[in-house]
Amino acid sequence: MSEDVFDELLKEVVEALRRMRRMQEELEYYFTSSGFYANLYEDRMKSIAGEAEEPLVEIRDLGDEVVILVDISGVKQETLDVRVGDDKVEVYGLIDERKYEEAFTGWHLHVRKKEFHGSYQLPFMIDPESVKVEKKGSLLVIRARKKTAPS
Amino acid sequence: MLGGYREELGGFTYHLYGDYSGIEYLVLGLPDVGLVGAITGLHLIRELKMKDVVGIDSYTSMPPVVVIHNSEPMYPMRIYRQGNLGVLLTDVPVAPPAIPGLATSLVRFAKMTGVKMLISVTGMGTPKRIEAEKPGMYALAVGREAEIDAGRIGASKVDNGILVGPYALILKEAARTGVNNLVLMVESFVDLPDPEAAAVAVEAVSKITGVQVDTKKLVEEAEKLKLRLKELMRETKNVMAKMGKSYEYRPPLIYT
Repeated sequence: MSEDVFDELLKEVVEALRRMRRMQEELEYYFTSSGFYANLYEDRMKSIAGEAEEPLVEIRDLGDEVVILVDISGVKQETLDVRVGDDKVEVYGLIDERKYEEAFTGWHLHVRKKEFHGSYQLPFMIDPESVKVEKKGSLLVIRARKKTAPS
Repeated sequence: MLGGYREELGGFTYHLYGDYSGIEYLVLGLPDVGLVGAITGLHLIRELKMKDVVGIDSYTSMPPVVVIHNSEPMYPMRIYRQGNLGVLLTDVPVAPPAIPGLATSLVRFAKMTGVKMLISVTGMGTPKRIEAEKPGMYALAVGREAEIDAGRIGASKVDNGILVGPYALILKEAARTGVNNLVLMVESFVDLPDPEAAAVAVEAVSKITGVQVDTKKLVEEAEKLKLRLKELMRETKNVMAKMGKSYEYRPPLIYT
């Protein structure tokens, strides 16, 4: 067998291995993206089945202080009730139907809730007496100092 | 609209059903931090009454979706156009496995159709956002024209940092293929839709393209917008976690 034939054979084997690798990548790709959408479906179904509208929230750890931002869009502002514990923050309110009617049409109008409720477990203790709550547009800003361990 | 001439690019199908020629600036409004890009794109489309001219789809990389708007079926991802300005908008966040294909296909589309510059719009999460009257803006550019525009709009330079997600791959592909790409990063909330940050990006796009766009509605209708975008924000948060977005919140290894 000449060297040329051997080289050709080697090229074919390398190419076959490449094709197999590509197929494997495509399969991995398909299964990982399917899993991704399955998770989204579960989350959405839980959210629709829940009794209250859960707000979007962003918690920022600023060292000595923690800032909790709660999106209160679509809530009757006068019904807002904020409860702060040692390591927990809860926000209640009633949905403002008028605001939902302005924002949505069709099917989406029928899945909205009557109440608004968010409950957040903090990864550290806070000093409830230091809590300050203010409203900035449709955002509720809750600030609290972290509790320091007694020395 | 559905249909049109089909062009296969990087595993994505571009359905060319409208007049897409002559787009000089293509604003990429992909859902990301604070949905700044998506809100910017949405506002430009609504204010300028832009028309969709290209539908983007993939039977393997995107969920099997048809979007219905005013009783008309549409592709999940679309390019809108008005004059020399184009906007990319998507109704479904791009799943991490689909990002490489989408990034390469978008840059190839830009090259193929003669787009002068891709403008990627994203948020930059900062703890100071709540205190800021007007969020700051940073720019990252590849290509001479993009560099000139970054200076012209008064955006600060990004000294150090890590960019994660589709815009990172688009930037690398643009550099590789010689397409101008300007990444606009506006200080924003991370997990909350941020129309005020989007207003800053819209003003910048306005300065670059010369197309006047009013941003008043973005602030006036912020609450309504946030209500509509709440679920997209949740989906995007999920996507960001899976694509390693947390790398953006640590310093890069190299320093001087």
